[in-house]
Amino acid sequence: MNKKDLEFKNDIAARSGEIINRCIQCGACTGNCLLANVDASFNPRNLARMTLLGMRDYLWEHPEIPYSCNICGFCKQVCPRGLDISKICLAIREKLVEEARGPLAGHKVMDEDLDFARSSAFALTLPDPDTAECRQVWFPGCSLSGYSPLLAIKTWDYLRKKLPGTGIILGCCGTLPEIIGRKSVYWELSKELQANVHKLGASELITGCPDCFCTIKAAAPNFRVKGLYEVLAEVGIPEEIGWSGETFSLHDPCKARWEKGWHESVRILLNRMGCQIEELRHSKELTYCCGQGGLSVGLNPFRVLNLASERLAEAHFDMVSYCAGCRETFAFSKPSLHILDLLFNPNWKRDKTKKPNLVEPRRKNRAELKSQLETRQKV
Amino acid sequence: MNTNSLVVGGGIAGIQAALSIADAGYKVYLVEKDPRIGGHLAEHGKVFPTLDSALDILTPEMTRVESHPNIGLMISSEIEEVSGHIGNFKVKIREKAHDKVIEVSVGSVILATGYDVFDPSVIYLYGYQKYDNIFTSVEFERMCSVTGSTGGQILLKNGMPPESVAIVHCVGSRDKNYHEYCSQVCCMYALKYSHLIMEKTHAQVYQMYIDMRCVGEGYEEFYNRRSEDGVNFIRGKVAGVTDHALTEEEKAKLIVCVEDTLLGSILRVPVDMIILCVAIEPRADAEKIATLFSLSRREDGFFMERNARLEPVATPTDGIFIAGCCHGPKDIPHTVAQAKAAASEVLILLSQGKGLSQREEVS
Repeated sequence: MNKKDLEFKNDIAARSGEIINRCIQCGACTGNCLLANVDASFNPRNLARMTLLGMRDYLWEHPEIPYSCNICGFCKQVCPRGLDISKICLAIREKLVEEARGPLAGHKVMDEDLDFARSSAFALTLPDPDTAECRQVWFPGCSLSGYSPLLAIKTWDYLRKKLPGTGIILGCCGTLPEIIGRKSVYWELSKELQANVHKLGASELITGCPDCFCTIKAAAPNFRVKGLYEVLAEVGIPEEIGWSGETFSLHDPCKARWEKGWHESVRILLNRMGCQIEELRHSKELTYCCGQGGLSVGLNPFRVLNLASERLAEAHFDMVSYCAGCRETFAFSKPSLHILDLLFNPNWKRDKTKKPNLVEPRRKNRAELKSQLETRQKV
Repeated sequence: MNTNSLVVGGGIAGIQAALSIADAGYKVYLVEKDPRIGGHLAEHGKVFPTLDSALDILTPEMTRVESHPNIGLMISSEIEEVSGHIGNFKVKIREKAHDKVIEVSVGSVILATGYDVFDPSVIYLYGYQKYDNIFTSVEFERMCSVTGSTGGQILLKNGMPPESVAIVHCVGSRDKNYHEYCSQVCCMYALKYSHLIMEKTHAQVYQMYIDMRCVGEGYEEFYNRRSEDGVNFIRGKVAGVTDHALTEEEKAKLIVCVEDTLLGSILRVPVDMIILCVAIEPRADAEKIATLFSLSRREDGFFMERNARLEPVATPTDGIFIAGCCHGPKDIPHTVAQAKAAASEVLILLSQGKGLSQREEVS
């Protein structure tokens, strides 16, 4: 190993914050990794080894390796040394982008999504129209907004009723650029979001997207972020909209892997609605990615569906989860709901079989959400 | 100096320590909380690497303890209170059978309280107690012993011998999520199990390991001989166990999912029986014992020695010594070496005549 190889290893270790040298190559990561089980060309243990041996040239020839990871964190959950290979993948993506070798061709649509989210077609900051001051801000995130403007608005209305002084911000939390390796854009967006919250005079942000939650918290540890479902469990659920003791298979989104408060509050809400829950073998901190994590859909959309069907093999009922991305991924194969559908969508029984929105309908929904909010404000 | 001594714990370490002191001519109380002495070893079948019977080693020692004129054996007894100092400890012992408290005076104490094992049901993906025929090493050891419930036969829950067995290493050991340390003896007993299984049944044996730690005298040689038996070694830390069959040959089997890191492929290994090599842990009541005897505990929870290199069986408290697995996981040779070392420390005190010169009888 020469000096250049060691530099690569040390660079990735520093960027990721992972002490990669701890790896004993036990294989617990690969054995458990859903992606490795579905696609043998991805092997997290091997990727850690290549990084340790400074195999930068090989990885530069095969950037699809670090870009394939679902960034789900299951490896960290099982690693006996506590390593997070997804962080190593993100660090390699970041370096590829810095050297203009990434993101990959398939990520172009995500860059366009990012530009859209930052543009005046979507970006919006509004105070609570009923109160003089804002204490907290509802942040639906672009996934929920693309899935259902109705749910984003109804959640805001409900939060304003229960917690007067709730503003709303539409924007990107920074997850998307972080995942494709645009670290500097991620920092910019974090600062913008914090500034917008500050502009409203609020001190707390509420989000229902586990991705946004983790990303915003990581970027600004002193910033107060609360999970929507814990808030709802506290303030109470709206009146019943036609629940009748259905059984759902509950999928914990991978970004909520270590958020016990999210696991518990979602289950409390479902129990209060009288729903029965089928717990999946891989749930809570052992959950599987739905298949869409890590934005590798740009590389291989069919693989996303293969991963989803592996994940769904554990489930015998209609799906419910608390990430719009997961809801949409499962909806390709079976009836699938977001928990907010059960709370705020009177047509949830009809909409559970709704096919997922692809790129254009999602952007339309986001634009639609902003324009609806602006219209209400004028009235 | 009170020339009586106390040994707490009647396993192999306590037995050896008590015998050494008693053979030197001094009186020693041996207190054991269970209704019998012999500890964990009495429930073992054979020991590595010689594969002699555990009871063949142990029973002569147990008999010597029970008949030794210098040993006052107290079974079904627990320590209730300790006061005093080196040369004159006052120890209250509760005899549980009669609910009676006895007070003894001793000049020194050796703690040989042994170990517990990790409960693998917290590793949800391994399916312990969810599926049948998954055993911990302690349970399997018991099954192999002629005094066990199957008379030493290796059987599945349905009474039939297994056709295939997987032995999973490092369950709860070498894992920051549970215990960071290595439990030292599991690689060796796993090899022992493969031999016993292949001797008693026609089963295929698989070992899912990360490393093979065979450091003692004759241990690497034992490993080489066991490899010649035809054990299937798979290097990889097991990801999980499922009963969800994907092929005909997986039906009605437990499927062990593991990456063979040497090959770089994820394997599904269908077996009838799984043995989990569970971590050796401090006893559940280690905190209570530590408080009673003013012992320090290391970060891993075991009792701390005064100095790892030069005073390996002494503790920060003068006159109190430790021996065996209560100090940390170890094999029988190291356990017995520590027991005899602790006894020799006690004998040094006795020959120096430290402390008070009063002698008291063993009651």
